[in-house]
Amino acid sequence: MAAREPVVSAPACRLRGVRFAYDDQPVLDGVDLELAPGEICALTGGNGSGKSTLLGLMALLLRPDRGELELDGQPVFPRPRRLLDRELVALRRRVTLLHQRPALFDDVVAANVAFGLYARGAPGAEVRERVERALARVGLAGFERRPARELSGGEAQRAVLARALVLETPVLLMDEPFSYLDADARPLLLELVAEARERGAAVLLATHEPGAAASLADRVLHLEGGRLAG
Amino acid sequence: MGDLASALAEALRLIVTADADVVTAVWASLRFSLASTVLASAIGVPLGTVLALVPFRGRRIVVATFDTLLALPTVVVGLTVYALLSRQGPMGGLGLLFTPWAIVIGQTVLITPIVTALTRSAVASVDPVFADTARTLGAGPWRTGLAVLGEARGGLIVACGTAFGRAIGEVGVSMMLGGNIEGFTRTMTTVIALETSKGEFELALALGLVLLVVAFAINLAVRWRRGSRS
Repeated sequence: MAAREPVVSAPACRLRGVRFAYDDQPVLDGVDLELAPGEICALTGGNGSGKSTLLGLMALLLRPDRGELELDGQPVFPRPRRLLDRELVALRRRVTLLHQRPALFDDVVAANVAFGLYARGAPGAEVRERVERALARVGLAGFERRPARELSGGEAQRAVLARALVLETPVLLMDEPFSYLDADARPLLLELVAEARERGAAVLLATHEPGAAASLADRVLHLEGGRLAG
Repeated sequence: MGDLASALAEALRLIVTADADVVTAVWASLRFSLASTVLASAIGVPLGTVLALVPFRGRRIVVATFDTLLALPTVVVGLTVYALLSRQGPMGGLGLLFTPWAIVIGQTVLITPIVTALTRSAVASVDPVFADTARTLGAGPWRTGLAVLGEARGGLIVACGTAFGRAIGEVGVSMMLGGNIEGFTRTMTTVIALETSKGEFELALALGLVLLVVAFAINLAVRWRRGSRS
């Protein structure tokens, strides 16, 4: 019997020689990074080291000045001529970025959690079922009709987690999640990240708390002087 | 002084007894102003949103132009639209001059810059994190714009309320384009102008009081809506 060929899947996200500058002031200069499906990677670095910029590039919110960026083996930057705007939006839907300063829309909790699902054209019945499940998972069952702006700080953090994780994207980026999460919500975050890994998502978690990163990550990368080390 | 007191008493009697002239003028003013506010909002809200969110060459000049048009004199609007709608004008064939439509068109021209400028200001003051959040959740440009508009709801209500207040209180456009035809194009402000010129203050005072009440009601409604959103 012939030996089975190992399945080699494309990296969930790959950057090569990426440079990005704000007003000619380089923040990232020659960044190389590969994230494999199912990998959890921590990104450390001081304030202003460019962690948020790197995440913004990987979430396709920013465009690199130079270098290559691929998602699931598909070149995104330099932008191929045939890549249309709506295709770029579709590619962006493979990535979820949990902002450093998360904001809930001025609407009910269910509408917030459902936002990304509706943007993907998911049918109403499926959206309701997934929103209900996601809210139950973060301990907010029954909060669907509550105005998001009336949630307590801890409840709002959980709603933000539910909104990001309900999408189940292949790439999950988190920008300093420990900085805005209460101590109570931290174990929940760790569980949710582990669940994301189990379903094959690549996770990049930016933090300036090396301890928190090490407990969770397969790999720790350090960003300094615009370059990655680790 | 005695004359003024008796005129005021007569004005109150006209209001309380729902005098036919008062009711007709109030109803005409409300209809024309509401129609022009709806039209101006349909133009000004999308336009203001684009000016706030979409960068393009010459945007500053366009913004400065709309800000300048906030102080557009009603007689200039009346004169310009009159030239367009008069028999010799390019739109003369439509036969709209001295009809309610002429007033609605004139008021729409007058208040569209108000809706546009105030919408732009309201949308531009929304924290950019909401647009970024919408994009990272997979929203395309339209859904992102709607999400940001949702955050600017209070400002939009103020924009539309201010525009309605300007439309219902103006006299130049209604007089020049409507012709002050009794029971057809006669509004509260044109009646006030006409009756005052005849030296008959009772009806003018009654309508002046109604205008004040309408302005007060709009102000209250806008404040209440803003309060309920904040």
